[in-house]
Amino acid sequence: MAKDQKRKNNLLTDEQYLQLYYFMKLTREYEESILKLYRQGKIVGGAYTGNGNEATAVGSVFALEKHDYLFPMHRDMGSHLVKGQSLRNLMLQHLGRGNSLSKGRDGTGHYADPLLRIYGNISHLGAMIPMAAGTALASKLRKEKSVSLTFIGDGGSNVGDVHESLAMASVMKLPLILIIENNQFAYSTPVQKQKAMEKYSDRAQGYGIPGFTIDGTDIDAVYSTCKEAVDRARRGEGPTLIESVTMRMHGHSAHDGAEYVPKQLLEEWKKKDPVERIEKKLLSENILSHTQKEEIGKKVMAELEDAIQFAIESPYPPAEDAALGVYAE
Amino acid sequence: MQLSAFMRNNFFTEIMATITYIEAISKGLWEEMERDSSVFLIGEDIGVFGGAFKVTKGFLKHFGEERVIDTVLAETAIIGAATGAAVVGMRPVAEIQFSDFVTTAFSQLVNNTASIHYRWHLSCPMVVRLPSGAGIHGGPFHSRNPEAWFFHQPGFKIVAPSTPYDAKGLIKAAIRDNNPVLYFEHKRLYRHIKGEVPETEYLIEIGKGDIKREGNDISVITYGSMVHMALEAAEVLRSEHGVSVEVVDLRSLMPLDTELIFSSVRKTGKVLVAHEDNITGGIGGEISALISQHCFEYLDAPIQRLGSLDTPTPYSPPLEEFFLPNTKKVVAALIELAKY
Amino acid sequence: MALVDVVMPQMGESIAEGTITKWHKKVGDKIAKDEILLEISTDKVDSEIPAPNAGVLAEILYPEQTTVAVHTIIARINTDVNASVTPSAPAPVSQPKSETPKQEPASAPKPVEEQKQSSAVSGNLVEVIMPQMGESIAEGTISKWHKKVGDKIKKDETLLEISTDKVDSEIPSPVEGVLAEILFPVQTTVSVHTVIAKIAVGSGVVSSSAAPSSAPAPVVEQKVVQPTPSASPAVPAAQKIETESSSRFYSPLVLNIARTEGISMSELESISGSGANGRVTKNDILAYVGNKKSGRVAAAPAVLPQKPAFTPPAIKPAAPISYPAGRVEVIKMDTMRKAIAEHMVRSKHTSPHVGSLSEADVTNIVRYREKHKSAFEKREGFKLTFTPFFLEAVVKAIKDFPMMNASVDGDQIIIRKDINIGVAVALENGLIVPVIKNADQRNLVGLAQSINDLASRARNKKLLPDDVTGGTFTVTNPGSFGNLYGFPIINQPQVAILGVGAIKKRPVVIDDAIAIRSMVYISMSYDHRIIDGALGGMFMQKVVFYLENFDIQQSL
Repeated sequence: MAKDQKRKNNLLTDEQYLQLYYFMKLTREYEESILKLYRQGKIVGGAYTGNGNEATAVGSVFALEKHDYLFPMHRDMGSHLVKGQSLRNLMLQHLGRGNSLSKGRDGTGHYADPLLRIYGNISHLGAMIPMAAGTALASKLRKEKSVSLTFIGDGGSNVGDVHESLAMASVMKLPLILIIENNQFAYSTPVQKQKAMEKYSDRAQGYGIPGFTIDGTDIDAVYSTCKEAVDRARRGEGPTLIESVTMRMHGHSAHDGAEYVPKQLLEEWKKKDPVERIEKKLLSENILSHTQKEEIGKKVMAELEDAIQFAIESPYPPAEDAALGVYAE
Repeated sequence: MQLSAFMRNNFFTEIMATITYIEAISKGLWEEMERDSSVFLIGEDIGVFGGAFKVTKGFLKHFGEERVIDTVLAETAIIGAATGAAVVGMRPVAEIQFSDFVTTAFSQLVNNTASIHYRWHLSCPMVVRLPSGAGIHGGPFHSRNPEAWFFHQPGFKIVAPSTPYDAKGLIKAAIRDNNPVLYFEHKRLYRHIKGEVPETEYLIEIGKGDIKREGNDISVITYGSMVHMALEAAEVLRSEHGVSVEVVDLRSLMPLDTELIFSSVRKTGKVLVAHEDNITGGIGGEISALISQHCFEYLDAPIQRLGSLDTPTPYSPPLEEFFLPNTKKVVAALIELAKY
Repeated sequence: MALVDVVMPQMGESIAEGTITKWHKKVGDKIAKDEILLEISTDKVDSEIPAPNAGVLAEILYPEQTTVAVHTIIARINTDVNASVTPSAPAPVSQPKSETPKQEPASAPKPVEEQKQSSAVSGNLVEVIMPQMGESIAEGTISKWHKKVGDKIKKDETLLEISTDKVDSEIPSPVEGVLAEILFPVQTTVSVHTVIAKIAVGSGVVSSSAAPSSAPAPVVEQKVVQPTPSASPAVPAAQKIETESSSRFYSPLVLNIARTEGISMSELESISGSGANGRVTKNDILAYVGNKKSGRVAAAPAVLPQKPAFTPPAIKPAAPISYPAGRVEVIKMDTMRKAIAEHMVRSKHTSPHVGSLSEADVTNIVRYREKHKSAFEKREGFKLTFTPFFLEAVVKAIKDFPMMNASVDGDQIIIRKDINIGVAVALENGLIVPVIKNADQRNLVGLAQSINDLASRARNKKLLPDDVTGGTFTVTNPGSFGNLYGFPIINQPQVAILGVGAIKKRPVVIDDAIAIRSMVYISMSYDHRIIDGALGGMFMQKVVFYLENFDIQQSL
C-alpha cells in the first residue's frame, strides 16, 4: 500500500514503525535506568515502571497531534516521550532537581508541561480523568478540535471519578479517550477480583459510547484503534473507551517483589514482550536492518547517559523554596 | 444594554439602589460573563431551571448553553472538569447545588485543584460557588458550613460575604483571581438581606475584611450570616448596657485580614470570635490562636468563641434553633465579656 | 582517581533499613557500571543493587548479614580503573575521605590502620551543652565565643564564656576537634543542657584554616545557625512585672497598661476592680490613670500585706526617674548586677534583719601571723591573710550554736548539719560568694588553701557550679577596704551573715591600764524570724572568745 493510502486507513508506514520502535526501546531502557538509579539510592520515594506496557503507552500517543491533551499514568513514561518530552526533563523530575518542570515539588511523571500539553497524574487513581474531561470541554467550547487522552488501570477503573467523568463526557460528547490498561494486577490484587464482567470495554455500553478490547502488546492494534478513537473525538462524536490488555512484568513498584504473580503467567506474557514483538516484526519485514537496530540501541543508551548525567549534575532546589508558590499571582 | 438584558431576564422592573444578596451575586456573575468570554458556568440545574436558588435564572437564554452548562449529577466531574478547563485558560464558575454536596468532590478539590499551582506552576483560575448555612430547616444534609475543611488545605482562597455589596464585589474579584476561590454564599441571606449596591463597577479585594460597626469595648470577629446577628447584638449592648461593640466582618477567610483583626483587638481588649459553623476545629480556633499569639498583652479577657453545637445539624425547628447561634446568644456572650 | 559512594537505597517510602545479603564483588574486583554489586533484603523486597559507576571496588564497609540504615554508605568504588592493584600487591586500600586527590594509592599503599580511620571519619560530632551552674540555675547567657566555626580546639581549652545569675565562667572544650557548629550567638540566653555548639572529632576532620583547596569538603556541615526571626516567638521581650507577689489576677492588658503608665504593683493592688470577682478591668485602670494625671489620686497609698507573715510583700519598683537629656550616662545592668540586685531586694523582703556589733582583740593573731607569714608564703605559694583565722572562730562558734546554721522554710526551721561557709569575694563588676564546703573539717591551713583557691578562681572566672552553691553561713569582709564595720545583708536562704571590719591598733583599757592593741569590729546581720538578740549576741561573744583565745603556740 502506498504511504498516503496507509495513513488514510490508519495503518503505519515504515518510517512510522521505525519511530515507534525507537520510542519503545527508549521507554524500556529509560524505565530500566530508573530502577537502577532507585536501587543506587539516587532516586528516592518510589519507582514505577511499565515493562510490558510500552506498545500501549507509545502507540496510543502516536495517534495524537501536538495540540491534543495528554494525561498519562505512572506506567506510561513512553507517552511523555512520544508527546515530545525530553529525557533530561523526565530525569530531572525523578531526581527531584530544582530545574525540573515541577521544580522538585513532585517527582516522577507528576508535572505539567503546558507547551507540550502534558498534564501528569496525581497519585489518586482516576483523579485526572475529570480534568481530562475538562480540557476536552475547554477544547469544545473554544472549538479547538483538540482531544484529550488519558489512562487508568484495571484496579483504578473502579474509582468513582472514572464513572462520573464518563457519565459527563458521554452526555456532553466530549472529545475524550480513556484507555484502561488491564495489566492483570492492581498492586497485588488480580484482575479477577476487580471486575465481574468479561471485558472492561463492556462498560462502554453503559455510557452509550464505543468500547474496544485490544491486545496491548500489539503496536498495530493499539495505534489503529486509538487513531480511530481520536478521529471520532475530533469529529465531535464523543468519547471512546479502550481496554488494552497487557501484563505488568514488574512489581507494583521497585520495592515490590511481586511473589504473588504466578511464574507461568509471566512466562506466557514474556513471549509477547511488546518491544521484542515489534523488533521481530520489523526485522522480518525488512523495515529494520540489524545495523539500524544496533544504531538505535546505541542512540538510546547515549541519550539516556546524557540525561542521567545532566540530571545528576543539576542542583536541588533551595530548601526554602518549599514555602513558596502555593498561590498564583 | 447589558444591564437592560439582565433586567429583562431577572428580578428588576426598574433600577433600584437597594438589591438583595442573591441579586448581587447574579449581577456580579452576569457582569463578569459579559466582560470575559472565557468565563462559563457549570453545575447541576443551573441552565434551564436557573439554579436551585435561581441565582442563574435567565443566564441560559442570554449566554447560551455552551456557557451555562447543565451537567450530569456528578460533583467530582463538575469540579474536575472545571479544574481542567481552568488550567488550560478558561475561567469556570462551578456551582455545587448545596455546599453539603461538595464532599463528593472533596478529593478533587483538596488533592488536585488546591495543589496545582504549587506542583505545576500553572494558574487554576476557577470559582466554586457553595450555597451554605443553616436556619432554613434543611436538616443534616442541606445546612452545612464546610469552610473549615478547606481552610486547612493550602491552596484555596476562601470568601464568605455577608452583604449584597460584598457579595457582588467578591464574586467579581473571585472570577478574576488566578487561584481556585471557594465562594461561600449563605442561603438564609439570599432574600433576607438587602443593601445598597452601586451601579458603577467595583471589586472587593480578597483578603481584606471590613469594620461593619465601630466600637471600643469588645470586638466581634465574624463572617457570613453571623455578621447580622453581631450587628443586632451590638445595638442591644449599646442601648441596654452602654457597651460599645465593634463588628469585624472578615469577608475573606483565606487569606485572613490579620491586621484588621489585630488592630480591632488591640483597641478593645476583649474579643468574641463567632461563626455559624460548629466550634470545634472551626476557623474561629485559628483566629483565636492568632490573637493570643499576636495580641496577648492587649487582652483584658479570655478570648470567647461562639458557634453551633458540635453535632450534625438537626431538622426539627426547636432543635435547630437550639443548635444554631443567634442574636440572643451573641448578646449573652457579649454581656459575659463586658462583665469580666 | 575518585571514590564513588555506594549507599543503601530506600526500597519503599517507609523503609528505614536494609540487610546486605550478598556481596557479588570483593575489594579489589573490577566492576562495570550497573553490574550487580550486592544483594539486599528489606521488609518489602529483596533486590539486586547495581554499581553506580565502573571501577574497582575499593571498600566494603559492612559485611554480609549486616543491617544498615537507608542512605548509609556501604561501599566505595574507585572509578579510576587503572588504579587497580595488582594481584601480588597487598590488600587493596581504601582511600580516606579526607585524602587529597593528588596522592596516588597505587604507588603509596596506606597502612591498614588508616583504612580503619577512614571509615571512622563519618563526622562524629560531640555536642557542647550549656552547663548548669548551680542547682537553681535554669539558663545561662553566652558572653563570648573564644573560637569560631572551623577553628581547631584542644580538650579543656576555653571554648566560650558564659554568664549566669550565679557566676561568670569559662567553659572548656569537652574534646579535641574542630568547632563544627555554633548554635547560638553571643548575648543569647539559653536553657541549661541546651546544645550550644558541636565539635567534630576524628582524623578526617579538617579545620578551615588548615584545609588545602584540593581537600574535600569537611565532614561536618559548617554553619552557624542564627535564630531566624520566624523561629522566635512574636512575644515582646520579657519585662518583669512582679506578678508573683500579687494576690489578684491581672489581665495581660492591665499589666501592660500598668507598665506603660508606670504604675507599680502595690499601686495596682490598691485599685478597686469592677470586673468579675473584683478584677481590675481595662476601664478601671484607665480611669485610675486618668485620675492620677488630673491629680485626683495622690501617691500610691500604703498597702498592708494581706498575706500571712511569712509571705513577702510586693516589691515596689522604683518610681520612674526623670533626668535631663544628655546629662546622664545610661549603663545597662549585666547579668550579675541584675542577679545581685534581685537577690538583695529579695533578702531584705524575706528576712527581718537585726544587727549586732562587737569588738575583738586580735593582737595575738596579728603577732602569730606576722611570725609565720613569710615561711607560710614560701611553703604554700600564697599569702597568709587574716580571713582563715576569722573563719576558724566562726566555725567553732557555729558548732556551739547550730541554730545559726539554719534556713527557714515556711513555718519550719531547717538546721543544717554541714557547715559550709560562704566567703564574699569582690570582683571587678560585682561580687560572688564561693563556698568552703565542710569548713569544720579543715584546719587553719586547709581553710587558707580553700580561700585562696576559691578567690583566685572567682577572679579568673573558673568557678564551677558546685563552688557557689550549698552555703549555710556567710562571712564578708568590709574591712578589706579599711572600713571599721559594715551592715551586711543576709545571703538567702541562710539566716546570718558576719562582717569583719578592718583591724586597727587602738588604745584600749585592760585591767584599768591603757594599752595599744590590734582591735577589730565584728558585725552581724541575722534573721529575727528565728534568731533573737539573745542568741545572736551569745554567738557573737563566742566568736570573740575564740578570736581572743587563739592558741599562739600551735604550729602552722
